[in-house]
Amino acid sequence: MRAIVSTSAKIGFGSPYELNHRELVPFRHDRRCVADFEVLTLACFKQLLGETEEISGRGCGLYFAGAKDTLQLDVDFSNELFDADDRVNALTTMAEGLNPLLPLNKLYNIGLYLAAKEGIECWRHCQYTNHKHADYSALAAAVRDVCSGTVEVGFAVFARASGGFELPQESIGAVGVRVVACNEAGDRTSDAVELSARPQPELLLELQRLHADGGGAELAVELPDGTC
Amino acid sequence: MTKALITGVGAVCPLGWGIDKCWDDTVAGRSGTARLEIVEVGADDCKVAGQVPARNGTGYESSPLRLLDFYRFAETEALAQAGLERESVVRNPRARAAVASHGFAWKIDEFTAACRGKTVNGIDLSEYVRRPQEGAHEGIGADFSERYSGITTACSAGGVAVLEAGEIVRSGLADIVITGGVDANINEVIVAIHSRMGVLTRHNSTPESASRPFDVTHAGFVIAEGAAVLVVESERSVEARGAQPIAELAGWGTAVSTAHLTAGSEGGEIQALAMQRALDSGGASVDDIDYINMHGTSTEDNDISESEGVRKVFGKTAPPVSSTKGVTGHLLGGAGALEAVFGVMAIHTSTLPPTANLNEVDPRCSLDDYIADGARHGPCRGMLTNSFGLAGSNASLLLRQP
Repeated sequence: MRAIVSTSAKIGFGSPYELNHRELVPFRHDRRCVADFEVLTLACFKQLLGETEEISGRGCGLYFAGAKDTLQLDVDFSNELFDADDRVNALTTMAEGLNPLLPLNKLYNIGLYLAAKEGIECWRHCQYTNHKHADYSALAAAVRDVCSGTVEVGFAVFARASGGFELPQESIGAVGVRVVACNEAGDRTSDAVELSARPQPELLLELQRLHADGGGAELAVELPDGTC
Repeated sequence: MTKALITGVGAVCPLGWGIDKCWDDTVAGRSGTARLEIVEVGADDCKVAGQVPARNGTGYESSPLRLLDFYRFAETEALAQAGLERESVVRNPRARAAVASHGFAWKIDEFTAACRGKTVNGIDLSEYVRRPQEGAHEGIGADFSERYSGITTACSAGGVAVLEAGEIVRSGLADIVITGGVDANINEVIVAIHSRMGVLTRHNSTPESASRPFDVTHAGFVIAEGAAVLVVESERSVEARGAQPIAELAGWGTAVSTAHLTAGSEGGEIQALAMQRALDSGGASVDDIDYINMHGTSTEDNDISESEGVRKVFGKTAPPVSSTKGVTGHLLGGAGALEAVFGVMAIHTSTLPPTANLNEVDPRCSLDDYIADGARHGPCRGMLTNSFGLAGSNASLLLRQP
């Protein structure tokens, strides 16, 4: 069985900023850039949700990949992407004083909140932070759980700030992927990419390329041993 | 669908190094929490922690890189029990790893000095000063490359990592998964933040009994550190190797709460959902469960809402429950894995560990049977272990006799 990954992805890069070790001490981070990062990530997820058809039965899985190297104090939720309820949730979060501690968790929590607001129940959830391969872990988990029937739809959201080792240090970005299952008759598109043993970040960059080429592309995913 | 079988466990926690020491002290109710010594914290901050004792018997482990020491020790112990050599597991394309961690301590100057000149995969470890979480996972899982998943769902992460291992084995993606959790985040920043959140214990004057799950005087959790590792294998692998499983990872469930970032769900509804899903996924009923190892953090919010969640699932027939955090404190990302290891030991040794420091149950904790006065002995056919975290992440694991 193969899974088709529809690249309903929103990709953005921007807000270059200088980074040094000292700036990562809590309470000293560049607020503006990290806020951009958060808005970008959540906007990506919102777009995926907005394009989701009604999900029945087993609901969805949400798989976040990202790094905790984004310590921040403030998030600008005045962005038009977020309505009043979103801002309330975000402010509640910030009132807990958790921002310097768990930025990725906060993103993740707001992601769950956005899903719940759309009436989508998350049956599986995970967030991955393992350097080069977090994106792969998140996508592989989404494909695995979709193919096993654990969830009906998988959302994998990949986020990067400060570039990690694989993206330019001055870049931030986010990519979201919706995963639905297909049967063996599902044809690959001309843009199909084998992911079976594919290290990241090629996946992220490939998604970026496909999206730049017009979006809506599909990736055929085959996990090792053809088990999914 | 193949079974996911557990063939090895290992642990390091404030009680000591090695599963035998950790389990014996847990069963005996001997506390591992103590006055915080490895870092200096602010005047208003919590002064109690679960620190891992130094292996030479003097004081505590305080190396900025101790996280990797904890993990490697627990992993080595688990693999030895499973009868596996690490190198062969790493080389096995049908083997993976899924481990929870939230990263190194942030004593940045010390950390930088300790890392200088050391590399992993050609990358200067001092780079990880900038990204302590990624650095931890690089150190733990680099050998497995893309076959490694680093999991960071806050305090549920250890449980989520173990269920990830179950998903991987059950779906046929791998035959062997090394899983678990490790954290070594007792540092001035983490203690300060949690203190200001009001979630750490206020019993500074009695550090050995400061973690009091379900007790009428529970007043916050004791931050702790350590590692726990389990080896999860498919039936095919176990049979092929002639290995001896010690428990089955029979089911798991997750559920997410979006109501509040830090509080449990109202009435324990979401926690109940995670437990029910764990039972369902293992084809088990409430009658199959002889024990629940509770998340039991010793915060009022958790202890009350988790108890309500158990009551929603089990009704008046809830099995005996306990929280081993009374002696270990809260290992954060390592907690769920350590408590899964304790669940395996409960099944393997037919012993249900007590909740230390539970003298008078908070009347708002609604269950009838909190194990308080010593361990109980008798068969444990199946058990649940709960791991709940900030950011609305709840996980429950179902373990049973193999």
